[in-house]
Amino acid sequence: MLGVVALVLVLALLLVVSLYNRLIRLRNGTDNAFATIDVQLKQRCDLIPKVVDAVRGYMTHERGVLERLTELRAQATAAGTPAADRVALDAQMGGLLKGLVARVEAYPDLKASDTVLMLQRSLNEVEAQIAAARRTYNAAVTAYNTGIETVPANLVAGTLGFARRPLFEAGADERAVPEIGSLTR
Amino acid sequence: MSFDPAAIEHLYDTVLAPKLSELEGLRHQVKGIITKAALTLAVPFLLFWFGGLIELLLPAGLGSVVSVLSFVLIFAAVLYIGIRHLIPGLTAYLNYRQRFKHEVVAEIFKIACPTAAYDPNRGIPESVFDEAGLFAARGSYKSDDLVRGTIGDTPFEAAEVGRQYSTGGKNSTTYIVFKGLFFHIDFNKKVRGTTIVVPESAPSYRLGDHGALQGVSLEDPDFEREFAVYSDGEVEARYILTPAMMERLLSLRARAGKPVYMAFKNHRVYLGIHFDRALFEPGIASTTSREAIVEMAELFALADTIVRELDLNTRIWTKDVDRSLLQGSTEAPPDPLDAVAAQARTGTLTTEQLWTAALAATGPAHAGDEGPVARPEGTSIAIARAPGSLTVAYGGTVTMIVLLVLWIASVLVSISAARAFVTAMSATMGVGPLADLAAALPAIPVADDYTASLPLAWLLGAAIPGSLLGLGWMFRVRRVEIGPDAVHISRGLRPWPRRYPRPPYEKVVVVERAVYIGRNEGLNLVNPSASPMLKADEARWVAYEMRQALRETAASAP
Repeated sequence: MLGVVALVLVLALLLVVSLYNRLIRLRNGTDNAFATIDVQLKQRCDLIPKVVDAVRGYMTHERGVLERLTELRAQATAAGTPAADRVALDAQMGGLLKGLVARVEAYPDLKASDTVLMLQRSLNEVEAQIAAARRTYNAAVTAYNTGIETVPANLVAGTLGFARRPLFEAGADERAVPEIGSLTR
Repeated sequence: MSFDPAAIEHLYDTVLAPKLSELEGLRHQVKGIITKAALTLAVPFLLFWFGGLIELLLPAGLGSVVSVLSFVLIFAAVLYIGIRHLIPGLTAYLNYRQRFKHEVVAEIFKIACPTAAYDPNRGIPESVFDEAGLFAARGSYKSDDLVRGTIGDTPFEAAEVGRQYSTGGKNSTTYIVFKGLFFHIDFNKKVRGTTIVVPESAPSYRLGDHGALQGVSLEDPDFEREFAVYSDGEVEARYILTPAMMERLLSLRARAGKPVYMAFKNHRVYLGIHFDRALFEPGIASTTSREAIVEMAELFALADTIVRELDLNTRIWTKDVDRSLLQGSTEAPPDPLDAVAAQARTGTLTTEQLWTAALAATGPAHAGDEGPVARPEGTSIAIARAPGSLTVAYGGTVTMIVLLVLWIASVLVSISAARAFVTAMSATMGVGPLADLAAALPAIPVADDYTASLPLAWLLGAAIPGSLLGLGWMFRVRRVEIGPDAVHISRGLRPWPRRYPRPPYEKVVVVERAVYIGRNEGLNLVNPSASPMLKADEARWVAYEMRQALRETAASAP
């Protein structure tokens, strides 16, 4: 009788260990994917001073936007900013950049400038990379969430400290469509 | 599709229809040869199948005669077709196909894909096809109908490609890896790794080794149902396959109506549409139809569809247009004879000019303007000059006799093995008239002892090398005699030489160390051989002497 109980206990322990290892693998996957987003966001951050320098002389009406961008970037790159805050700051910067690029259309001198054209392409590139990284992150998080919510892992996930993680959604700032007027010109 | 269907219809009515009727003669020639060959085979086969009925009518004892006769006739028919129809048939077909591609397909191409160039004789190099490891890299590879150019800003090349392999061994199976259109296009985003997109249902024998890649699952359920994605970088796979791109690929798949395979590597797209049949080929049984012509136009326009569907002209990312694709640096230079053939088709060259061009293209060794060539030392070839004639006698009759003896031996072993094989088979199953045939074969004293065990191995082992040996002595050139009105060539055991009248047989050509007598008029692929394989210096000497003789005897003729 005692032997049977011991056997059941050992089996249960083995099951929990393998479940735990699987969940750790999934969680590391999401961490890794998040790090990839972070790298791309940092690249976009690095583009901001270049964009600001290139357009400052022309876009006198947008001075407020440029200052706000510089400010946000300083906050985001400051040491000790928590990851969650950085993501929020990046979302704001992304929205502002998008609006700015759309308004470039209104300045013929800027539109024809090679530097601005190259910067636009770099921004597009980094945006595409960020989008891909986010989708990868979402795929990893979905796999992880599914992992902790399905039987039998859902029985132990909470006890072992695995919590559901949120998916990435486009921030309100980024989703905002630039003003129609600036696009149709 | 980017082309105007009305333009193709118009082209068909004004240009292609007259062209096609011009080519009708060639088509009938090809069709005629195929029909003749089929009929030649059909008669003995019918005799074989219905032999039983005829045998019923014959007196007993003569029963097996019909089966034996039909067997002999089948062999005779195969041999006859091989000698009589094979080479003229192939020549006529290649000629017809070549003219069709240059005169019909090229015209369609100009309408359907005006921003590119078409070359029916070239293809995409195998190295490009295998670059991304999309398809299984084994077996034979064939590519032609190359199209290269730009669509919008995007450089591309496309060609018809076929790849297949056989497993070999006893139960050999042939797998068609890919047969269709293959596109090689400059991509608009930077790609550092490898990402491949294949149909979810693609059989594994088609695919290359992608053990180093990982499966990537994407958000779009429709896309997931249709395609499987493998990549060495998950983020890059999603960078390439944006939600918009996934929709576009699905739409392309729907428009192509055939399985689509894709790889992204080296900033390029490799895309194959598996049609599983030959494309851009002329009709043989009947004239190439209007529908077939419109389909060819649609195929050419596919390049345009792909570039636009995949939005490759949008260059808003940091990747610049890379035109190096248009150079095709990795491919071999085109065959100079193709250029000569193209010139010949224009019909502006005289025969003399054509010969000169062809000889120049194949290298100076074939030209006739070299100085006197001395008799090489140690040669066994004897050349005898007499006024108005030249006789070349090739030695090596001993070789021929050895070949003949070996051939007779292999025939005897084949007969013995065939008899043993049929007897062994009839012990386990019914073999019908074959048993009578075997019984009609004579017993071969010594060979029968050996062939009794493993008869099939003996049969194949003796029949295959035996038939090759047979070719060796049957067609080996023994003697060539050049006279003022004809060239006489003696071959094999044939007691009388064959006569090649002059004109038109006035040319001497050396190809691969054998000498041939060519015709003076038109270009003909089939020229009679006037020597067996020789040593290089012997071939030069014999060719020189023959040219001299042809020149002198022509001058002395009235």
